[in-house]
Amino acid sequence: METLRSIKIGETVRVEKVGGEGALRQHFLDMGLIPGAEVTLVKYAPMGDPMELRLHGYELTLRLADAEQIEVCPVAAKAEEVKPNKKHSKTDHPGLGEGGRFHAKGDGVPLEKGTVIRFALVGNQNCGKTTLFNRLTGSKQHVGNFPGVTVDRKDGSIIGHEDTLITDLPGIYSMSPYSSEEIVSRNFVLNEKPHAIINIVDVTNIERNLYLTMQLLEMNIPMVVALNMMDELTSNGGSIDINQMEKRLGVPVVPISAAKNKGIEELVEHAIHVAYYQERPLRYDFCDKTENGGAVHRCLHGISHLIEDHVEAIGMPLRFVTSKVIEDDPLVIEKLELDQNEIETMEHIVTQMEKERGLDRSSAIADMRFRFIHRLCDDTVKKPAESKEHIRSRRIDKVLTGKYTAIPAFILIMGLVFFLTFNVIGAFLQDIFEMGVDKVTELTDKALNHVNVNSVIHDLIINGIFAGVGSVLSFLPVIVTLFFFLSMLEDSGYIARVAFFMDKLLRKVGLSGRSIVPLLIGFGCSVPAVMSTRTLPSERDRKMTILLTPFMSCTAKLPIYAFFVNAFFPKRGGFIMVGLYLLGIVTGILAAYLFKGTLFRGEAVPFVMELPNYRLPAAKNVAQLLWEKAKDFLQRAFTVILIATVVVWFLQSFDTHMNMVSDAGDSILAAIAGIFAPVMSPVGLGDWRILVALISGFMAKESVVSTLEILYSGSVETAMTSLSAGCLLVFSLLYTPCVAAIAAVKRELGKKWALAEVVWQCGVAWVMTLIIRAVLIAIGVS
Amino acid sequence: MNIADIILILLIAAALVFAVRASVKNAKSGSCCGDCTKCSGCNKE
Repeated sequence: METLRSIKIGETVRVEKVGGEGALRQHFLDMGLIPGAEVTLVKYAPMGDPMELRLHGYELTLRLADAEQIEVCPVAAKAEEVKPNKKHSKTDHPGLGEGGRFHAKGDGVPLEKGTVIRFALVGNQNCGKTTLFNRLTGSKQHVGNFPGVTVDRKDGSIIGHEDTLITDLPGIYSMSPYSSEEIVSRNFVLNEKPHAIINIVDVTNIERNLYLTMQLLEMNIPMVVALNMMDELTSNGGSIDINQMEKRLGVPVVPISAAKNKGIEELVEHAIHVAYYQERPLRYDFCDKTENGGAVHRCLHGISHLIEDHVEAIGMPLRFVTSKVIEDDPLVIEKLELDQNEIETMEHIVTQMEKERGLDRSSAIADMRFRFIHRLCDDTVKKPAESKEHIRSRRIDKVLTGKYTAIPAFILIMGLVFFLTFNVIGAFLQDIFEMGVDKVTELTDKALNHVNVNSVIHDLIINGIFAGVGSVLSFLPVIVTLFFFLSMLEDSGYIARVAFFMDKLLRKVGLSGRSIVPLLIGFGCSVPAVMSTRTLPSERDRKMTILLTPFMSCTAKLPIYAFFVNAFFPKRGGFIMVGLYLLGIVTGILAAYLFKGTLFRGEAVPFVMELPNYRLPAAKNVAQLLWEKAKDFLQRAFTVILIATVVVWFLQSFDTHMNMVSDAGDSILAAIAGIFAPVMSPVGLGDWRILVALISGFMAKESVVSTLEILYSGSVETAMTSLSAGCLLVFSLLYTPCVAAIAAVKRELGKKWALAEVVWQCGVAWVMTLIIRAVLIAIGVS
Repeated sequence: MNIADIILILLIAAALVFAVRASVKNAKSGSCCGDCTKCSGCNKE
């Protein structure tokens, strides 16, 4: 039998059998790779692996090794299917979720007055949940254009309805969780029991999105379906018979465009109505008695009756549990506490169904759902031939993911980003900012002298706070510029492509292409990078990616690089900057090889990922992200760095008897740092002032510069040598991430890993600095 | 010590108190596992 691996580019085949086992197989089925589905091979990644497939109207990536497990048969050459210009027959408006119609039956049990109505916002990845959440709540959560931007839940109340609480959940493809952020969503819906669900459906990819909708209907929780991106569908000539869809699904269906703020009010009205009156879905039984002899129908209903008492005892929705039991979900089966007889009876029923249906248990359930979806879409959805957005994406991808152009284009794009940030836009703005900071310092100095301020307080303000915080503030433009470019890449959908063509390369070091997303975010900031590893479906990949993130030099280290490069190597600034970034990446690769052979043996997770269409980033989103980053930086400058500069100033200005010292070498700080000096002397960083700066860098990397400015009284250039500056640059690049990043590691992996990360990074930094120092001495740097 | 010194000391002290409070608050925000009944990782009531 032919497998998916052996088909040719442009060839369309029909899936016969899905091999493999466990969560991955279930994930294949949930993504629509079910027996009977037609799949077209679009292209291979530039390095020959993974492959890009088109099915159910969207693009999916799959590794060749995984494709080998999927048996296919050729689809008989068929003439281009020409569908008659479908006109929807007029269907009465069912009026679900509106006053007077459904509610008038009197079977709704309203919530008590004053109850805070809790909503869950659930949908596939990258379908616009966070955009809708921001519209509903007026909040400013970050949105992107690759699957898995939201890795954590976010709460807020709907504007104008203070008695509501809506929770934005990470995107999921089904209620069979595959990665840890998907578990967050499933746990929330199952355990937190929201009063209603707002299910957001991307209409440009409606079949796969409705697969989740069907599972949510099985939960028997009041629900509204929001059909998002309707503007995109209609502008391409498509349409949806909303009334008919509402009637068939048995829940209110509201067309919206979250990005353009259309249909939101209607959605809110319906959502509040179904939640307040607790109007549950009119149907959750989608198996057809007449379909394929009714095997799946009889199996579902038979088992449903068999386990009804157990399901009631644990308070879970019956239909959902029945489906999960048939799919052999161990978590659900364990909860039911069935006795041996019941388990055996159940197995007999499932075996009989598999025999009659000719499909295994999971495929049969997935097939039943997709069959209903296809019938529904055939009757209610008029699809455009190919959307403008998809045509545009296809054209751009010819270059950006082309066989010979993808890698050069990536290097060119990243090179351009760094060149513009450090040499053109960022550097220009930084000069202006620096002048501003110097002017304010000068004016303050004059003012303090004018009112005869005490010399100790004067010293604290000018040589402590202004020297420290001021020196860090001037780097704000460079950081914001780099974040601007990173957010443009992320919002456009390019980062998902990078994951696609880097997969083979990353697999060589034991990671999957999906790890590229956290690693690229790591060039911005390690904290969101660590958080974004939640999109990785295996614990092994997550741990390994988190441990490698600190090797990607974050923007907070830029002030250190810029300061030392300007002071010691002004003519080779660009070369040294790029060199530092490359050194971080190369050390990371070496560390990955080490991890692969020791701590994390085994294979990286399969690369199953959706490739979104390219979109032009919305100016508002980009501006919002930049403002958030600038605000975050300013907040750090005026909190952590302010505290650090005042503490450093105090400790270097007084001795242990609380007398002000004239020589900082007699200060408390010098005494403390002296303890570590013997360890750091071999790497050329034995000076107590450098040690203090590095310790303060643990609080926030930017404060390394501010601390040195204070301790060397603004004359770092004359007090340090080029050799020690080079060593300090390398050590700063690689030593422990800041406390915020370590706290994020602790949250994700626990205390032991967080502590191990600190020790490991310091160790790596020490060894690499020793090597680089020897190289620098050998080439004559002194 | 003149009045300007006293005002400046008070201002610096207030700034430090604010900075410490803000830093502690930031450090507290945890992430979510979706199971609020068994977990208090995010410090939500």
